Amino acid sequence: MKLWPVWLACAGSAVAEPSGQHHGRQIYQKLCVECHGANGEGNDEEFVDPLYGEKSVEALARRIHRTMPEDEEHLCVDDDAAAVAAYIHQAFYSPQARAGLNPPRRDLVRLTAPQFKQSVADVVGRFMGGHGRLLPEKRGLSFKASGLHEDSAGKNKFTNVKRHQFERSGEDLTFNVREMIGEEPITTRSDITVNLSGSILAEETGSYEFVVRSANGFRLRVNQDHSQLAVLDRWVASGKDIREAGVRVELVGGRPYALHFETVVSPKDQHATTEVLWKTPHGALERIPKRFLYSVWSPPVAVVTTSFPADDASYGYERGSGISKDWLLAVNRGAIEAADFVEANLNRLAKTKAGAKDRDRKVREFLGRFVEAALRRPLDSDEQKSFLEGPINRADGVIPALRPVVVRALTSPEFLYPELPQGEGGESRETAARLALVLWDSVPDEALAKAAAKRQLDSPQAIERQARRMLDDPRARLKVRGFFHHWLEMDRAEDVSKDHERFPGFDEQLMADLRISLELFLDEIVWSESSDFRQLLLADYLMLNPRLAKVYGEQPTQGGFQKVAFDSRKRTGVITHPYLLATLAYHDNTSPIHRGVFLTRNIVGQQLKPPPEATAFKDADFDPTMTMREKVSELTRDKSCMACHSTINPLGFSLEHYDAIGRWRAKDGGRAIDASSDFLPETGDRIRLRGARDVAEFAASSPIAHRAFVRQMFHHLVKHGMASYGRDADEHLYRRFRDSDFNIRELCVAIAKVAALGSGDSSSAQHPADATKSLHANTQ
Amino acid sequence: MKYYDRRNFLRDLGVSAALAPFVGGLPSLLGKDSGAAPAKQRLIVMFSPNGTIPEEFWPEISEDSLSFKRILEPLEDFRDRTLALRGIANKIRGDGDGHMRGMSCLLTGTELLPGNIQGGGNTPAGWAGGISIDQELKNRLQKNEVTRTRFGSIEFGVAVPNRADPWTRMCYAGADKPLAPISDPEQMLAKLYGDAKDKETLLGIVDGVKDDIGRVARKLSSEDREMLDQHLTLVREMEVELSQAGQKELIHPVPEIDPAVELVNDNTPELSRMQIDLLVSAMANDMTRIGTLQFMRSVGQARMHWLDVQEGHHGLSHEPDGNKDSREKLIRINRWFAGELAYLVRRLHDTPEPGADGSMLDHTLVIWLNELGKGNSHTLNDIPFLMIGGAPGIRMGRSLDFAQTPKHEGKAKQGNKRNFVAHNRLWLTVAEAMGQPLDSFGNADLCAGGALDLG
Repeated sequence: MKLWPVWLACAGSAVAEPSGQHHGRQIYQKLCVECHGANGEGNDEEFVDPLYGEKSVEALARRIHRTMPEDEEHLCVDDDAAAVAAYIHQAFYSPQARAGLNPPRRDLVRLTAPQFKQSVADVVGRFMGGHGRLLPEKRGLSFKASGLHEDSAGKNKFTNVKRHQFERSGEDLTFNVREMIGEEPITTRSDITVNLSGSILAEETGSYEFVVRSANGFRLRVNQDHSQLAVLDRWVASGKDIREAGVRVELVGGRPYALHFETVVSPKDQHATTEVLWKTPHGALERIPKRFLYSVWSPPVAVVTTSFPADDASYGYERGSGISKDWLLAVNRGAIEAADFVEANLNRLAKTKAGAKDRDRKVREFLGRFVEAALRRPLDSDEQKSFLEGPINRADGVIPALRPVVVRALTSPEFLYPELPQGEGGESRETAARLALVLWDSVPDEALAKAAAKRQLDSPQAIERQARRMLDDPRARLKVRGFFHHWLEMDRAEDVSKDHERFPGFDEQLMADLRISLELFLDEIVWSESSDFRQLLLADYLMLNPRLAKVYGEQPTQGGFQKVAFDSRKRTGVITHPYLLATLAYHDNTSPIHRGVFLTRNIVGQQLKPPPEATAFKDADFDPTMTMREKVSELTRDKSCMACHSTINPLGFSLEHYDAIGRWRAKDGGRAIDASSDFLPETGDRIRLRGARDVAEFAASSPIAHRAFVRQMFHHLVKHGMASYGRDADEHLYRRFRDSDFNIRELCVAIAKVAALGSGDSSSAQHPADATKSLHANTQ
Repeated sequence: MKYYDRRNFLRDLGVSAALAPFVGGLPSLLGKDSGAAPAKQRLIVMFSPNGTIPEEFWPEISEDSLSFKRILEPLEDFRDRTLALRGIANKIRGDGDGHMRGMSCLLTGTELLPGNIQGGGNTPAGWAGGISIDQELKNRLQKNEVTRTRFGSIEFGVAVPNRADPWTRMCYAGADKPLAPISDPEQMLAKLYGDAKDKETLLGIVDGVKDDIGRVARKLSSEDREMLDQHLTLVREMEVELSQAGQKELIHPVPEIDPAVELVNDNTPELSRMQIDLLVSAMANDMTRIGTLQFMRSVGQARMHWLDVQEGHHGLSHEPDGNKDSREKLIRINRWFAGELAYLVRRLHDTPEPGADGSMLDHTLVIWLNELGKGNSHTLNDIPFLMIGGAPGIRMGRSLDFAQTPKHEGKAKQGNKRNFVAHNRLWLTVAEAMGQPLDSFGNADLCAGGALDLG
């Protein structure tokens, strides 16, 4: 509550003092209450509508001054009108006030499709040793070669050579056996057996294609252990040519998967290159880059491959707000897939082995803990009967009851509706469940569940500690990455294509490279220590590989992706990233309107109404000698258009220096680019924009932009309306963000805390300085 | 021999009365009296590895009767349904060692492709260079609406290790396209009856889920309860649909599978019976008319503890004839395979032919074969080919020798100067029996003389 006046100040009011409000209330009671009601609810008899709206205090004051009370307008003017406006605005008129009076309820939601898949992987994964452990910094698979060599006495000896794969090879998963072996004495007398093993990190959920090019026989295992038939087995090579073989594997993002490649190389092929390539869900086929590879092993992950109906995205973020028959069928199929996995990996999950005397007991114990992990709580004795003993008796044994128990747990409402109240004493577990959802889209891991069981999640500090720990996990990165995909509307890029004549060489491969470039740029900033939101807008570099450098760079580069600095007028953060610029453009030309709308809504943080009528831009309608800016100005000159386009156009024109694939250009059709305009923000003075950097600097320092960013991040992570977390949530989070120097990770922690506590009540807010301190302590 | 860790499978399959209502009184369902459909003809190929003990396998040659020695004794009840085919050789040469060619050229009748797999001798090789006879026949049957089935062919394995090489594959969809047999009865059950199995699971838990929803909903506000009410309605709808679905005509019940049997070497006898039950069931339900049943693999080292044999099978098969102990064990091993064959044949014999007279055995040609004639010589001659069952143009109850030396050459030379016929010709006979006559199969040169006359 104590933050409330500050919100008014930010909204541009200077009259939000308690005494003024008192004065305003008195006048309202005297002159207004009869028609408008005590809380502005209106009056059916007098046909007075409720007094709710979104006008500013000043606008309300002007209107009261002019029109109220009806027929006796002179009774309330000037300062009195301002006082009444200030009072009603904070008491019931504004959305924030209404949220406080009658907070919107938080709907019951189900797991979204990604949450279902993540949760299944983690409920099962909790019982797989090695699941969810932190990955080492060092990248690259481990490499082992073995073969014969002749010792000094002329006898054959067996030799092993072990290496970290990238000690000798390049930046990606490609190698030449002789180079890897180097001077080690494996001679050319015998076949050389090569093993590459470790883990590969899947950053996204979806279908991954793995392709191997090799002259030799090979096996590739992904998300499998050695006892399983390799997903790609070409151990037997008929013929002598370099062969290529591929396979698709479904992976749930945000976690590492076991990767094992083995091949036998004949001496004559030891100089030949073997390549292992992949195509990620949004990528192009490429050699697997080093940054995804780790030498540590990972246990198999239970991947649900069933496709689900799309989640409701009508709120502007995906939400589990409705159910359907298709959804229920998908849930059933997903649960059955999980049961298949549990059956196949039972001994490892239950920590037993074939033929063990106590196998049934171990499996029963496992099943009990499995159900508890799925339900996110312990079972009481009745539930033990219902979930375990009943099925075991009906199936006449523990092993035969496996499928029904697993499927029941994963189709139970408590698994599917993760925020159901857990009853008395369950508050800690509810907190844990919400934290896991917000940061991981999943269920609590062992550590979080333990903390909840010991009631160690009752203080905001404890929650914050857990949130920080969880934020270091790849699942949290996946979730935050998902936010950026949404914020930057990266889905639009799915089918971008460009005019081949104008932009030769702009193909799927280049677009895939650009996507990686943008992801790397985001990772670089978000996961750096300062994690500074403003750098997303202001950084003057791009991540380029040689292919991209040829198109976008000023000079060629070598190797993999690297930072390439630009003149700070030419590149400024995400808004001049070619991936976005190419997406927000026509196939043969720029589109200042698309770019302007994007900047207005997502970057500057202003609302736009839908256009009054649909108008299509048709290039052929214009004189071909006109610049794009002139065409757009012409098209939107109508007054009804300019209500919004007076905002959209200046922002869009500021990016006219970037062509339809995002290259810097000085001219449009032979005429010099004019990227300058005057821009009138929602609040504040008219400013002169001379180009992209001015837009970036404006947004980087604009509270409206900051608040919009906070709100969008909140919705993405929490998947509930912010208003349902109390009228303070908005303000509290904004201040946390601002006071942490716009630290994005801090924002995520703060959001997780608000969501976990169920409210943004400032009493739970920690002093920001403490937060920053503990962050530093944590990262050192 | 090492298997991957066993998954356990469930028992509560096929117990539902709804799934298996039609064990008896079948013919009416398949329109026996419509008269249009010709009788079904099926083919089952059963493989066991590492050669046989010829003296205890081959019956005396006779055109009109048959008497069994020790290895074939388990088949005694089906003596008059059995045909022993001596004098046939796998004459494929080229790349690859004897076991590789024995295995991968057995059903393909064609050479191996050059490749990278070095066997115990000769040059390295890759996969077979052509389609196998079972797949050739499958393709032909699947082309015709009358003979088309859901799967066309099903490849069963028993204790086949989880590796893919020319010693483990006998079925090929084409050159360089080996087909993996399924050795896990649970996996096979899922392939054949997966939907039914999942349905059983879902129906089994639906009451619990309904209770859960009711219990949870009681604690909620009326707005939130709406979503759970809707959920409950959907669950009920699903329940109704599931219990109505799939009541269509399954001629033969889903086999009951013991879930406690793990996929380990010592459980091979139980696994074998499960696979055979599934094979017979799949055929009874007309999911396929071609089946292969592969025991282990060429050079397989199964340790058949259940026969009181501690040594690996392939190792034993290399012992010289004079080693009486090994010989006895190998007889035991081959006799065990004959017993499994007898079980298969009995199951076919005991199952009435759906939609026709007689038993399934009357309409099924079962062939038992091996990749070698004899283990310790690695010969591809006198491969123990044995037929049981019924097929047009094949007269059972005999023991033939196609390599018999003409009498005037004298007894002394027998064994050295036998004129073996190429096994490609046997596949021409089988194709004919399956109603799909071929001029040539595999290596065309080896088809000279055409189909062997088994009438």
